Amino acid sequence: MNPQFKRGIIELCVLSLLVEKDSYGYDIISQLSEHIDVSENTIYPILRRLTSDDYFKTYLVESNEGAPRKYYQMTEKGFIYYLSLREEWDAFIGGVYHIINQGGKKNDDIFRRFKERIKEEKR
Amino acid sequence: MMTYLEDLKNELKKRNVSQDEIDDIIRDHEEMISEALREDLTEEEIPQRFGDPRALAQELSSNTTSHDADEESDDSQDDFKLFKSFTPSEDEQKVFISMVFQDVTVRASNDSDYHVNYQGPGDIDEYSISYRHGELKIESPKFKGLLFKQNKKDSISFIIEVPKGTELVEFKHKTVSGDVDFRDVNAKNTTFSITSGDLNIKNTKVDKLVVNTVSGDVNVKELSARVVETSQVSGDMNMSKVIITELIHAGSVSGDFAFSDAHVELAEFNMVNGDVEGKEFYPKMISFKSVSGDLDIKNNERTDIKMQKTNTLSGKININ
Repeated sequence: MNPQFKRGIIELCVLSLLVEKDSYGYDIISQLSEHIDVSENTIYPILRRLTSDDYFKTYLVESNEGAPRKYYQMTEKGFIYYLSLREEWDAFIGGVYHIINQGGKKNDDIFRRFKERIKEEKR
Repeated sequence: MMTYLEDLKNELKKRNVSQDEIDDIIRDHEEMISEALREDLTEEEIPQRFGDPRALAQELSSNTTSHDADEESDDSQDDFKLFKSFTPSEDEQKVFISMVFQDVTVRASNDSDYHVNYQGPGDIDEYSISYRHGELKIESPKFKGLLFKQNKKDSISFIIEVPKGTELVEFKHKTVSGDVDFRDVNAKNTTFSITSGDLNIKNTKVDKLVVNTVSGDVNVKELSARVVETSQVSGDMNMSKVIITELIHAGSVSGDFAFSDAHVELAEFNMVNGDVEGKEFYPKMISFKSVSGDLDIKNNERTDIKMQKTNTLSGKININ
């Protein structure tokens, strides 16, 4: 897994948006911050790095209001990178769920069992 | 908005980010901030949404400097020490390299000599490096015992430079798990035998190229050759910007082949379940044998591709 955990995950999120369609900076930021707690100063450097690594190309589109928008477009290299990150993530998160759901998914059961264990230890 | 951008600009300057990059970053932020203001944010909320300019500048500059640093350690000779230089004799020039897990870069030198550069904690004196009668030979010490017990930490990486403008008559490279980078060097007969290391070939002209790998991947870019013979077990091969004037014979068990921007006279594939994918791949003739591997070619320009000796059990063939 990516050593810088959160950054790696956000990278995957950015790639997942752009694998669907081209998008511009502010749109990417709004879409992500709708679902996860993340700010521009995390996302923009990622966009920039992925672009300089040739995972994205950019092009400008004139907009009616204000400055032209810089659109990011995934390259083939970016797509391959996306696939490998995605695979890594699926394998990792699959393993995590396996571990955290070992005791079942019902929190009540888990708490009850734990309470009983503590009681036993106290005796 | 202006103060935020001004702050960001100053913070970037402090961190020696180049002017071009600063301009670009500021432009992007002008765009994003004006977008944000139009939508929902007030001037005061900008730093909240966009973060502290100092932190942002720090992140961006470490981005770029760490990126540069990566490139340098790959590319520059800063960390490499020169071991020996050899002035080429009048003979035909040949290079033979035999390694185990050492990474090797072979490239053109800036002058008319051979240079052997190395880096790493291993003992260079254990290596046999000689130049006689036009033959440069570099051999790693024979390791005793099992390969996987060898400590890669004691390894050495090499950059071997071939005199500028020299066409080698022969180049042979053998390694087990070391990666090989071969670029800007021309050699008549070029052979790579690699078990699990990766091979990168870039900008080279050869008469005959032979590549044998087991699980290593092969990347070829900007190659001109008469004949290419390649055999892989599970490694993949990528070829782009390639011209092969006579024949490519490619065999693979489960590795895939990808061609882009490739012009080939005759392409012969002998696959088990690996696929062949071509994009702007223009062979005049193809022979394709596979058990379950597919052949898929997508070209913009329609040209006649003659199929000969096609034989596949369950693979699909698709050419347009």
